[in-house]
Amino acid sequence: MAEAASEQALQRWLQARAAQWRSLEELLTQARRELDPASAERLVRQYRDLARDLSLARRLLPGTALSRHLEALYREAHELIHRAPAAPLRRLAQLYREEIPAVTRSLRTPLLVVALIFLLCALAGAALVHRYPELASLFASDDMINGVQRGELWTDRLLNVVPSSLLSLGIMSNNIVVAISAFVLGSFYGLGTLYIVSLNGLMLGATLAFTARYGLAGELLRFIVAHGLVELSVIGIASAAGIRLGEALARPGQRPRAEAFRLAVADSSRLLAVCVPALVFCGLVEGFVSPDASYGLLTRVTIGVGGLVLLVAVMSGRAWRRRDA
Amino acid sequence: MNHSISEAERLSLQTVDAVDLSLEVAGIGSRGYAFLVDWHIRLVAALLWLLPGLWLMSKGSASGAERAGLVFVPAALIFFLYHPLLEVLMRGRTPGKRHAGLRILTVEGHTPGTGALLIRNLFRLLDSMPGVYALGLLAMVLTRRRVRIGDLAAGTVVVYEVQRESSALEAVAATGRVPTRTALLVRELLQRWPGLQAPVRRALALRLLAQALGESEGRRAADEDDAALKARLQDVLTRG
Repeated sequence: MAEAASEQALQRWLQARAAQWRSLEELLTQARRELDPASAERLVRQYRDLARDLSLARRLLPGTALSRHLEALYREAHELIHRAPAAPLRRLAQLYREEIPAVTRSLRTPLLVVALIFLLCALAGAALVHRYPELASLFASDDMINGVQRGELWTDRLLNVVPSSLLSLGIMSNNIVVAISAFVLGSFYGLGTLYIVSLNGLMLGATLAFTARYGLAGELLRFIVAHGLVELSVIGIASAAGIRLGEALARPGQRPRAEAFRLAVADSSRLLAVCVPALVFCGLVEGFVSPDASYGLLTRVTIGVGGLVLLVAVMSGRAWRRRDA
Repeated sequence: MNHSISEAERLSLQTVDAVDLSLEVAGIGSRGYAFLVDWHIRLVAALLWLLPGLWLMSKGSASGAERAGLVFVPAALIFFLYHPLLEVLMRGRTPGKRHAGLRILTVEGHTPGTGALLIRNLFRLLDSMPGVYALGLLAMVLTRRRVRIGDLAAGTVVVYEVQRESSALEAVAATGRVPTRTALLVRELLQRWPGLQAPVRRALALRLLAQALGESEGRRAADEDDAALKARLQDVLTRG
């Protein structure tokens, strides 16, 4: 008898609430497009009531389709209501004004380390090729070597083969992949990043020493200066971020390793918002300016140094500060 | 036979209103399936640009390398930017994941922000090494929550989406003489009818009919065939 009574009570409750649940479901479907303020308020009220209903349903009808359905509705409503408001412009402004300068400050040591390692490897590469010129074949193709020996730099004829736009595109995508790799490979306790840094250093030093042998070093520098200053700096920045990842894994401090890793990623990945646009810029310069003989040395140096100054200004946040601040 | 089924890993959360939710973490098979579906979609999408583009190029005036840039570059962009773009636009879902019933959430159970979704895609570079997501799969096997390195970096998890089951409301509305629990069980049996073996579903149908309509009715139904039993169950739901 008591069972029948409680079953009756259950059915009465279900009949009473079913209309509300249907209404909430409709509101949720409507909310995927747009919701007027009155409907939104109704949704919130019904969501609160639903929390109670869900508790009851879980108690009275556990494991049934009904409690699953109510849970699904509750989840949907919860996500809709508690979703962070989208304010993309404000987020971007905050990213560049505050977060990136903060990360840059915290990366001072890794940046120095990367710069040092790069320099050392460049010197080593230069010294090696200076002493053993035949090592040039390790990083340069036969065509390049023969050309240089004839007094021609391989960069002279670039625009004859490929138009500037394609060249830029190819270069910038390659560089972006290298920068992302330098960052992401830091997950191997920093070893992947160190590999990229030292390899690039070695190759730069070796190439310079090799071209210097045939008096072409000046011309190579002339080619590089417009895009190379920023490009090298950006790869260095991405590498510093990668080192930071490795450090978080190797010395997590008081946090669990996974958490330290996650926080380091969240922090330093922000720099990619500077690195990627900078590499787009470098790609354009390397495709349109550097191989074009009509650009004089002064122009190239201006572009190169100017780019570097802009990069430092954005990274330090000084680009956004007003004079009176 | 007694099978020991390992407990699927669950993501337990408590919402702001102190409601406990428990979400089932997606297994490697589901995630792999979703990825394969996505892979096919983006391949087709890229080809849909590439092939007509190449055909048009061969017809018109070939400005060789530049046209190649117009054809190959967008196709490559479609192929590689598919995941980050769609995951952000669809708030943690992709068509493949949708199909497999999965979605991406943060470890706290919220919809991931743009930053987190971009990060987890950046690390695809690492997870896809060497070749067929070997590192990613290894990470998924070794972690409790079946996450790859990109998920660890971004603080995300992939869970099974909880689907609405609106027909449960209809089943409940139909109850009158039939107890609510029985009505819901009948609905569930009808849903699974095609997937069950004949003797099993017969036995279940007879039990539920006895529960719903009384022992005498139940015994009478024992003589009927499968289709008739199914019709009787549907009757229970519509008329109560």
